[in-house]
Amino acid sequence: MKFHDGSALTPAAVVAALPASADGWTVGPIGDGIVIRSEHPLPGLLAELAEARNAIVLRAPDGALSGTGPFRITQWEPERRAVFSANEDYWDGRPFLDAIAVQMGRTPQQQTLDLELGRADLAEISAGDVRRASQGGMKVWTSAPVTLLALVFDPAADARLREALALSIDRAAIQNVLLQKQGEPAGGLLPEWLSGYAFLFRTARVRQQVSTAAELTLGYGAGDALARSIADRIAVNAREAGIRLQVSAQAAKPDVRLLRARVRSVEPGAALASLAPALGLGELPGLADAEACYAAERALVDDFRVVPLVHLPELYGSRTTVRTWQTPGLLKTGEWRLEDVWLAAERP
Amino acid sequence: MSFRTRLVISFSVAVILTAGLVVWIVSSATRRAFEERDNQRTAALVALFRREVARRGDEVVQRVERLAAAEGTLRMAIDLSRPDADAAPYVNEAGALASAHGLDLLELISYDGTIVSSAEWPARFGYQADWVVQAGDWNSRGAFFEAVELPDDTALALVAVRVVNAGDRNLYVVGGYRLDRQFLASLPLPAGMRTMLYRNFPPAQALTDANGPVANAAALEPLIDRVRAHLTDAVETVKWPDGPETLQAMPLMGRDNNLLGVLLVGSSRRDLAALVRGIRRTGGLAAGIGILLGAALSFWAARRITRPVERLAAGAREVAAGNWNARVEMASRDEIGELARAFNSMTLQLVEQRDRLVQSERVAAWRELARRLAHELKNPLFPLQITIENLQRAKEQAPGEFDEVFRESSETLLVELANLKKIIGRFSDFAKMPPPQLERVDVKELVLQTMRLFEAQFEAGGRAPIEVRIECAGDAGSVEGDPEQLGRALQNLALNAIDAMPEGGTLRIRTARRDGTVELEISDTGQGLSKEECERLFTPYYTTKQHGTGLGLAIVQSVVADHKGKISVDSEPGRGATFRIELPEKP
Repeated sequence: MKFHDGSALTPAAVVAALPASADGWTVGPIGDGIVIRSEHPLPGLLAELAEARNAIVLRAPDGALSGTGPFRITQWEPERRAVFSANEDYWDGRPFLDAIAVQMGRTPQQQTLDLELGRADLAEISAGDVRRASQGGMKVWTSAPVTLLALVFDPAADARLREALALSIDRAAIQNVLLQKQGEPAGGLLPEWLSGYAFLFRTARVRQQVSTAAELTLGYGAGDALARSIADRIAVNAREAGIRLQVSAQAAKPDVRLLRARVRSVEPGAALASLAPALGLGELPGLADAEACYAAERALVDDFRVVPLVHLPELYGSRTTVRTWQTPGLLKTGEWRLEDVWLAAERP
Repeated sequence: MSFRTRLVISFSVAVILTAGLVVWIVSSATRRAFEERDNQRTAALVALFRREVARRGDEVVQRVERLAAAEGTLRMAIDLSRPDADAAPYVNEAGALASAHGLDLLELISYDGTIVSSAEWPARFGYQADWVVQAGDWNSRGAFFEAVELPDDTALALVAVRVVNAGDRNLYVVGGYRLDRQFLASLPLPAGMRTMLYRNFPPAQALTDANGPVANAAALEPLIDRVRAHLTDAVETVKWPDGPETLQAMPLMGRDNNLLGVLLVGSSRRDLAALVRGIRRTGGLAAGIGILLGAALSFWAARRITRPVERLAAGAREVAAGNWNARVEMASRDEIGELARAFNSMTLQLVEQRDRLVQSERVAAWRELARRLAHELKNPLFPLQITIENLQRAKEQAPGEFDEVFRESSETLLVELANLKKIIGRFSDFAKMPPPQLERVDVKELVLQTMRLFEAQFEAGGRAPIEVRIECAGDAGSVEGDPEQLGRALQNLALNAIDAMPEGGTLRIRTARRDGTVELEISDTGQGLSKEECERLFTPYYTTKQHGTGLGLAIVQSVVADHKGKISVDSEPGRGATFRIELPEKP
């Protein structure tokens, strides 16, 4: 097995690529392999090794990266464009595609337009465009729900307001209409397919009126149209509860924020731990098993500091010429197996 | 204030009042005329504005009808009428359709009143709009005003509802225009007009125009309150710092006949006010010029009128000064000329009457003189005649006693002849009264010297005592006069007083200074004089005494007159008499 630059994949190169010490374990070469030593059990080791930060790559003096995957980077323009060419020496056989050009910095609307105009073969699409893409003859690729959309309150926010707002939200309307039935209402932080206990969290709406009129600011990511529409809908629901919710993408310190958090692991503890920083919750200790994860989630949700809304899948649209070989192409976790993707010939 | 000044003022006031009245009348009439035109213009523009609003309403209806009749809308209605209908795919339809059909507001509402899609508030899908379902036949109804809820506000809108029939389940299309700043700005209004909109519902009952919130909106609150109270049009003129503005307020009634807003159409009257100001300024200028011209003409006319009067006055003054031959030359034939002629005739008649009077007085004087002479001379002549007759009788009848008779008769004749001489001397003195030799005369000294001459007479026995009181306290003042003549006049008055008190009494002489005049009073406590006697007392040859010549007081009056003084008498029978001489004081 060789790196893209032709150098051999050796135990030493692997050890050099991995962090010298992470999560209490150490790495060292041994014969044709490597050995990872730890003072304690590492049930999430494989998931950890699958993280991008632990990728086995060589970093050239000029900063260029060389991996061992089916495609190698041949052009890199940060935040604009990248071109990946087929690795002829790929250990599992040459991929079907000669090269993949990736356009970066495109909005979901632009990506959908690129797809419709034939300027792209594969593009991310938003939930609202799924029907349009399907009706337009596109092929829609859907992963399992891997992105959590949740409200995260400022710790100083009034507990009664947090509860009233949380209970006023009509998650079903968000999922059915705004997400066009994509994803699933979320009562917990981890999706059902990953945790197995998400059904224990309530997602139903409970109408509750605050005693005195209140006003809160809801912040969301600028340029995130879906987040904006969800935020507006939450504002409508909140008004019924007597809460005036000011939706703003520019609020410096909103009372509550609408955040996205991507599940980065298929292992519940790691996945929950990876969600916490994205939600601004800090480190969640003791996520060794499902019970610990549930307890941690329950504590967060019952306190209404975090109000899970929906779990969103990764959604892609492609031209019908995009095919896959043997594997589904888009994995459940939202990653692509591009070495199995090939392009069929255009039908006249 | 002279007659001419009064005339000038009267004429000027009359001119000012007339000019002011004319300016006021012209200004008022002009203002009314322009106001009427302005009101007509405003009414026409308001009517035009109403038609424009109605046209916008028709436009809304047409657009909503067109949208409701579109094939896509019909397909949507059919799709949503299915039992298992999914409205989610249409959640964004309203926004796209509203843009395509030029509507600010659009909501698609399902048969049960559920909002399928909302252009103005996309996040409001799934909520109920029951009022659409509960109302009657929308398709025959025009546009109406509605308060439409928005994410951050509630907007006033002109909306129309149309129903798309899909079997037994309808799809309601509710579309319209927002009545906001852009709407107001889009209305065609001529220069000087503006529109304002008052929202009569929470959260903010604000007044806005095409530029945003209206400044000084408080001034319009009374007008808005009138519309809110009576729900009818109201008109009011508001005075702004830069000029007045006529505002017509119209109620905007909602579908339930509730007042949703008030539309105000303002027509500036700044131009009208400027025009009226210009007219007033011009009128004022013309009035000013007229007043100045009027004042000049008034002065000229007054002078023309008063000049003959002044001539008449001058003539009158001349007559008063003794020039009875004064004449006023006047060529005019008007009333003033008539007056001048009457004046001249009067002076002529006065002169003639004076001459006649002088002549008659002269005759009377001669007669009086003759009478007095006859009276005065008769008394001595009679003894002379008796004496001579006694002499003749003694010569014839008693020659021996003739010498004795002759001696006694000679003495008698000499005495009577002396009397005759004395009488003739008095007349002679009166006739040749010399002009006074003027010098400073101390009045007190004059009085004391004069009274000193009578001391022996007062002290002589054989007659009733007379008490003399001289009241000359302090400085009695000085006069410019002839001391001899003044002393003689004083002596005459003292003698008269003594003669008036044969049975004794009090002679009082008092001096006083008053207003540049020296007063000298000689009073007695005698039998007094009647009123007629007082009037004739200073007439020459008039006397109340049995043996007086009637020249004493005439001489006194002549002396006083020669010294530019006055003499008067105050007396009643039985109460004595007081003679008062006033002479100008020499400082």
